[in-house]
Amino acid sequence: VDEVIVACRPPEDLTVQVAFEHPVAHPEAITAAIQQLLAQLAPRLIAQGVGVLQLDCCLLCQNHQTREIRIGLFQPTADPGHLLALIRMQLERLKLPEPVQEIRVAAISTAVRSQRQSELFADMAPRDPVKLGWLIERLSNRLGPERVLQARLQADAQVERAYQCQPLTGQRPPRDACEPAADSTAVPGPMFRPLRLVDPPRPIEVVGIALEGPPAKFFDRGETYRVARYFGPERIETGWWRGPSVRRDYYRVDTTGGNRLWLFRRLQDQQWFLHGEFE
Amino acid sequence: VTTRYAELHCKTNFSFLQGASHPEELVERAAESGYDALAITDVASLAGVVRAHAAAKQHGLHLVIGAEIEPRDAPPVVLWVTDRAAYGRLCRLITLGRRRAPKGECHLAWQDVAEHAEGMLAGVLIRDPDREHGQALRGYRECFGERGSLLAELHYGPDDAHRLEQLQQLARSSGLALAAAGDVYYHTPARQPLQHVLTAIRHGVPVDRAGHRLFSNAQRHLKSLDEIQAMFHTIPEAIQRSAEIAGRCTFSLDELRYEYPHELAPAGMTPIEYLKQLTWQGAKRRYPDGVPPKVIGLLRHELQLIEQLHYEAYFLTVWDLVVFARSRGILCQGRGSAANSAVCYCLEITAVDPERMDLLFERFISRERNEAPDIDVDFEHQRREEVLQYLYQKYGRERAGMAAAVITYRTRSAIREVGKALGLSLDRIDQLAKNMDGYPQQAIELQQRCQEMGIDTDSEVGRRLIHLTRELIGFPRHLSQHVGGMVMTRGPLCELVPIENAAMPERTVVQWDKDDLEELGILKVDCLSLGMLTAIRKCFQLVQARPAGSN
Repeated sequence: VDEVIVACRPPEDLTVQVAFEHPVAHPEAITAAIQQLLAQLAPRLIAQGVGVLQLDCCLLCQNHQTREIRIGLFQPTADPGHLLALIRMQLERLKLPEPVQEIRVAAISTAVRSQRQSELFADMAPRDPVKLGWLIERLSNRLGPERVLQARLQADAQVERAYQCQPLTGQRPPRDACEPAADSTAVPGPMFRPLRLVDPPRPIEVVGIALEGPPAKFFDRGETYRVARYFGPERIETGWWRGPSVRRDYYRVDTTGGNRLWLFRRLQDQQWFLHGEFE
Repeated sequence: VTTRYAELHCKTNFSFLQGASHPEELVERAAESGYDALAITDVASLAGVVRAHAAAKQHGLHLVIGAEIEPRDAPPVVLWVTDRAAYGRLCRLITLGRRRAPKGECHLAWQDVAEHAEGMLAGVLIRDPDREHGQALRGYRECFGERGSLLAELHYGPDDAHRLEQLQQLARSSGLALAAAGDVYYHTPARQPLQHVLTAIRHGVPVDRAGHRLFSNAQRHLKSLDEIQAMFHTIPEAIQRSAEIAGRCTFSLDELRYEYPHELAPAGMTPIEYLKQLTWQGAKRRYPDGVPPKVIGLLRHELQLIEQLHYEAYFLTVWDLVVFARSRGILCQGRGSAANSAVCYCLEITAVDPERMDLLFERFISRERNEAPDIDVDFEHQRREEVLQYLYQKYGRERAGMAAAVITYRTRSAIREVGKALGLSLDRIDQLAKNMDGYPQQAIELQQRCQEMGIDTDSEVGRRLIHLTRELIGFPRHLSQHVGGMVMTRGPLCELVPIENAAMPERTVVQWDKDDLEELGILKVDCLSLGMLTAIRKCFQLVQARPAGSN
């Protein structure tokens, strides 16, 4: 089989640095130095038509200790003012053990910037998506990127793998993760999947009419639920390539109390679990 | 009361990269499970039916012949044949779609199906009952009348009860009765991983990225009668209908009586009379000083045997080829089991004088074995094409075709494809494939080779790789041309077996290989090409070009 070999060109090193003659401790002075570095970096980014998605700002202190500030972006940017504002948010909270001797700023991940003509009257531009981006970036840099997430659908029959939460910043826009199904019945519609999942599925005790039949009554965290109606079973047998197969019979049940819940029986050992709640 | 059920919708691994069981495995499982019948319905193909037929005879199972057809402008449909005429029409329909399309595809429209519908039963497949199907279903109802059904196939999906209600609704509004079926892809749920791997290979992605293209459970197997009854307990009439449909399909491949082309003998003569005449004439030419008594005895005996077994047409066909080749100055030579006969010597198919040789004719043709005689004819390799074109010209493309060769997965190709599907790196796969050859004799051998290549065969991935590779070895992957086997018939060939395009332009192959043809007793003449004959001819030319006596 022929394999197309694509030559990998090393990306241009987008690093700028400054070393101080005398170590600097004053935050204002450090900020000013970073500002200068960003001003050096910006034209290089613009020349390549890219913007930063992830930027590292490394502070080398006197006793060889280092402090690192990493910022992630939602939309690639080359705007030094915006980058500085994001760095500042973290710099304010940073405790420096010793005065800083050297500062290095490196663009770790870049992407093509969406081109937008600058407007003569800045206020007339539709700026909302940009503003949303700024909000996301400020939140991510304040709270940490792992706390500002977006859920994306994944094509997988195993429900806890049918979505993925990813940080919103520092990521390239994904290629379409959900490929079309060969058989249109293969993708269960929104009716059949609850919005709220119990993670991980919680073992429950179930009383059924028949050993391998639907549930009639079940107990969860001290409460007793009676099943008024059920739909199913929907059988999921998949994931053999990840390890032991996942084998479950799912039931959507309406309880007499008015809840609509999602239960499954693990086929290997007949153990029941609560896996979700429909709105 | 035991359930009577026939599985009407079942793919074998001759639906390439879809079905995950051999025809024999499916037949065996259906027989074990006590099914009334099993229909083999590959996608626009009858390539697997002969093997299924042989296995069904062995297990005493009623086999239904059919195919799944996907018209581009109507819902897909499973067609089953009731009799020989309908079987011929199904072959014709598949040929039509296959000849129109590039190799491996089949392009048909609803109109084509309607034109060939006579004598066939149809099961319409509605995979998305939410969409509007009224018009298409009315079309099927008008065309097939009460021979049409709507297939109810359940696989523990998100809401089977609702789906069944929708299908019942469609059945009522269209007038097509519901028939239960399984949309079977493998004989046992244990083949689910292999079916997933095949799906991944088909789409060119690793299994973990195949997503919703994989079936979400292992329910596409031949279920037990109890399971069938439980699944369709609300509509027992659909189970009954399936058994009824199978009961109406009484056609068996045994009915395909092969008929030799009629132009072999001149008008007013039967083929055996003509063969006798040619043989005795030939004998006089071969033995100008009088035919030795030993040879006379041999000829009488052989001709008697040929007459009893009705092989005269076969000998005449080969004779015709040889005469054509001689007339064009193409060197040729017969060989093979039936070739060393006195008849072949007298017909100048071979040059082995039976007077000086002692070969028992029965060794090659015998009444008990009832096997087709085998005469291979070698032609100069550069000019064999002329011989093939002569056959196409003489019998027409309608009546002559080339036997298929079923290309199967060997160790090397199997481990390559399985490795890719399991997401191994390309250089690792290359390294593995390069060190594999042929079909390993034992499981241990494959395991050892893998270990030598640095695969941890006790790891999960290693065990999966070996298990799946072993299962995939021997699976058919596509149909190719046989090296030279030509099939000629009296009636249209495409009513005996579907014909499809080969990779080579202007070449067509039938969907059966030499074993299939032999199983059904269909004549095949091997026109092989031999490079040495070309060399000999060139040598003759050189000798002739030099004046005698010169050095």
